Amino acid sequence: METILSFDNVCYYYKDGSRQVNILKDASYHFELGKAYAIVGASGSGKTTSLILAGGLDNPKSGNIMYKDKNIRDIGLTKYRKNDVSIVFQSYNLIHYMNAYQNVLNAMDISHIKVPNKKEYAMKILQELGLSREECKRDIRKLSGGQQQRVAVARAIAKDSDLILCDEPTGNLDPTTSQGIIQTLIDLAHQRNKCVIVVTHSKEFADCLDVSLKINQGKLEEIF
Amino acid sequence: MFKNAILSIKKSVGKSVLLFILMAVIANLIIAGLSIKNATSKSMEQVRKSLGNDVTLSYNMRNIMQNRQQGEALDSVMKNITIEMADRLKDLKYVENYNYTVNVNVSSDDIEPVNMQENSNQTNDRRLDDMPRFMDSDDFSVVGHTTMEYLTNFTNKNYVLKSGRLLVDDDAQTTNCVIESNLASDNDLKVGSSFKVYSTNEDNEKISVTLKVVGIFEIETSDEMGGMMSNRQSPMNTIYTGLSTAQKLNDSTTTITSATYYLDDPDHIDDFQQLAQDTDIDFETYTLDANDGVYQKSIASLENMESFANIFLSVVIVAGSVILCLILVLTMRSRFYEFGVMLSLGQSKLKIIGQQLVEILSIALLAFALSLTTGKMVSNVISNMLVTQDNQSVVMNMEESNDQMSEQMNNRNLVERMQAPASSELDVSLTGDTILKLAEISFIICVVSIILPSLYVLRLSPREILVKREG
Repeated sequence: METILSFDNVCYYYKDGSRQVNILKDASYHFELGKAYAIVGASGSGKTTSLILAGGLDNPKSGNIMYKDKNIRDIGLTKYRKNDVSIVFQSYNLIHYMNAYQNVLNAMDISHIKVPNKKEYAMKILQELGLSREECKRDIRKLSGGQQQRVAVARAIAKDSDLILCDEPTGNLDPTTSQGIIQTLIDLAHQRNKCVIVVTHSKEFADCLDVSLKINQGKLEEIF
Repeated sequence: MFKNAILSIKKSVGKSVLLFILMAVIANLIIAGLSIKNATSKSMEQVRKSLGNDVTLSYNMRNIMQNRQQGEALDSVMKNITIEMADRLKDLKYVENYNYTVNVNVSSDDIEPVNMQENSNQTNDRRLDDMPRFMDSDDFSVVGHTTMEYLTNFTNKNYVLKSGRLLVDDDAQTTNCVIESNLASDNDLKVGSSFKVYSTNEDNEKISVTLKVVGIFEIETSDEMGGMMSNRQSPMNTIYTGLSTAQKLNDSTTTITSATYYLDDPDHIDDFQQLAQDTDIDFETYTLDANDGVYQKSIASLENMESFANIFLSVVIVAGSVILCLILVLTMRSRFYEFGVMLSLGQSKLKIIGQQLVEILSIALLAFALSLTTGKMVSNVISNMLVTQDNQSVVMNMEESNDQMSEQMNNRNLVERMQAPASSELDVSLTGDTILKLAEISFIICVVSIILPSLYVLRLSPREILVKREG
């Protein structure tokens, strides 16, 4: 399997007054295409920080994060976020003045996705995730949590990036909706050869994915 | 960027309307400030132009009076302007025409002067009060000119030719003259009549010249006919002749009383004065006057209005930007999250600021369009208010000065003030320049109001923005 993302001795800490709190300490790991990864662990262990660094939303204090053998710092974090990675947040992070369909189209516009019929393509992805045409054009704030999360996933899919990062994507959802989202993410990895990395508290969710990782003393370790 | 901006405006109607109202108010006030500023500048230019494009070389009376020893006769310290000196200035850049003047006091056995005391109650123009008059042996004033073509009283129609003609270049070596209609009628003079005048030189010798009337003029309006006036000082007893005749009566062919230079443009007055300073003419003794005193008095109220307009504009721009900034900072809190999402999707900071700018500029454009129709109304209201206040202050100043100054001085002051366009009304019409300036200022206000709060948010990393939002 082809490595798409590597953590090479990544360190990250923050200052709490005069105290330095280490989150990641020389963390190294290789993520591959076609696999779905779960990062589990207690709150504050560094799961979300790992995802943020992998998503290019912040820089590690030291060490390198390599995307397809290129340091994401060299690619440029904005360019990296625009072309190479999609992020699904626990709180969906949808834009309120746009409806579902416009949110997906907006992400495609930013990434300059070129498909024959962009509008139909966006609508098709949303419908495949179970949203009706009417729901796609409804005020985004009037959709349920599950529907909003599906819009967030649709936005990630529409960007067509090889790396999809999800922060607690089922955290606010009921079990049935969660199951649908989990299956979609697994399908993205297995059927569309994406690398999906999910941060989750849920052991059941983690068990459904190909690889489970935990952060132990600042290092990423596989759980067997 | 544009699509998102329109979506955002449509979704946040309340905020958009609030911004529209605020920007319309700012735009209207800016238009008012700019219009008043423009109008005052234009009026000042008009005043400058109305005062003419002429500069006069004459004695510097103020310096002469100051430097004169006590008891010293004025004549002994006054140095005549030589024609050679005046010719040096007529060849300078900007000079289109010139007119040399020689004033000489004369008497006559053939004609009687128009008696000012007798005429005091006849017409308003011949007004006279009970003030004592200077004792004067000479009854007439002969004023010799190179040409009468540019004399302000004639060009301004204060004096109107009733019969005959004015003196032209061909009259230079003749004894032809132009007189006032009252002088003519009192002495039964007509065009073609002749009369003799004489002056006395330093050696007490009589110099006589027989003048021939070629033109008779009538005084329509004049502010020179105040109370303390001798017969000779009255414009009715002024006789216009060619330069050589006046020089002959003055017993000097090389000196003149004053020289007036007519420039190609009033805007070149300062440049001309500067060029004149570079010649060897002694400007302690002589002066180049471009009606600066009258100009300064005339524009005093306009300058007040202009400075008000400047302060008003500065306050509107600063306060407008601050209020707009504050509103945008407050609304920015709700957009924190949107910025974070956009950044996480890979949108550049520049494009995010660009979207904000497009939003505010779209609203500003509507406010701008509205202000083009309402701005003139606001400008009129403010300018009328200013003009009324200014006129009131003129009246108050006059009342205050009544205790100290004679009524005549007040009248003259009023005449001078009334000449200023500011005392009547200001033309605050919208010009292309004003509209362009408004667009420029509005654009700067929008850019500043957007960039400052945006930079405050966008200096943070996407993670920090999203964490703040989560918090």
